[in-house]
Amino acid sequence: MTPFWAWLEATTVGQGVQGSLQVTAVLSAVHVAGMTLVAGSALVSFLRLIGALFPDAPAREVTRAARGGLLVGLALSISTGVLLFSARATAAVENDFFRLKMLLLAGAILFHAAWYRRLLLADGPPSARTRLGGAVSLTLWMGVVGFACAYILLE
Amino acid sequence: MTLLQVAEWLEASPAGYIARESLWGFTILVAIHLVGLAVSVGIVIWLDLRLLGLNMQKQPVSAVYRRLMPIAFAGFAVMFITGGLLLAGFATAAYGNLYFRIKVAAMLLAGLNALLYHRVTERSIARWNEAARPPLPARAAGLISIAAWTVVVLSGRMMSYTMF
Repeated sequence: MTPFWAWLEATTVGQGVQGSLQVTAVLSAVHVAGMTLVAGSALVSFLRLIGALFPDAPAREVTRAARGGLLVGLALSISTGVLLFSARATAAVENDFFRLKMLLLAGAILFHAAWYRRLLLADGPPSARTRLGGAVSLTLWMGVVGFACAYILLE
Repeated sequence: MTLLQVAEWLEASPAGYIARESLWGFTILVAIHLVGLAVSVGIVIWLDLRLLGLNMQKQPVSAVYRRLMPIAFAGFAVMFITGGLLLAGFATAAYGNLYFRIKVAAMLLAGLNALLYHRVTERSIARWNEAARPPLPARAAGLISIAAWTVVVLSGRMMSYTMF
């Protein structure tokens, strides 16, 4: 894979991001704004699934905006994240915090698509199943944020 | 005492010293600051969207406020404390930074907007508490809040790239 990461870094895009602090700053700002939306969506849907937020109303209805917000936030963070990654691909893939961040991100997205989404689309009251799902999902997303901080601050 | 002198005094304080000179102190403060951001702004969005008529339309505005805002306030407290300590460490650099000034202005706007909402707009809440789409002043409060906090987040991140 190493030749691919080196190639990515050498592309016009990778070099462009690497060469401009302004571009990096703007990309990073949008990246964090997207993160805020993703974390907020994860938090509010977690609160509904554990029964702390309108347990008598269907999860489908309470989490409608949050489900959309998660997708918008992910679109913002992933698109800017790929551009930021292209500037430092070879170093990033060697970094343990970055690897853990990507692993948890993949886990959070897979968990959401395979199981969690169904809980958010349900009509019933909170149960042990929804509480467990909410806790797992929130832990995964917070892990992504935590390792992102560790990666960017300690690299 | 001028603002710049306040900034110099903050930097010389023990809190300023720890935020600036200790890698772990700085890293932990920034990480907690970001968690506070996720919990405060990440939660207040859903109240703002309720005011805009785009979220939890079947729940009364007052109920959404009561359930969400205690959590958001906890996040804001964490964010203000860690933000204050980080500011102490780099006060003179922040003082001259354009994005820091934009960030402070946007936070003041968010605060004034919230004050106006509570003092004026919310007085008539009995008439629109259950409305799926609240009246214009309430929707405006939601929109201004989202816009102001977005500017705070964006300029906050821009700051860290232009200050050092």
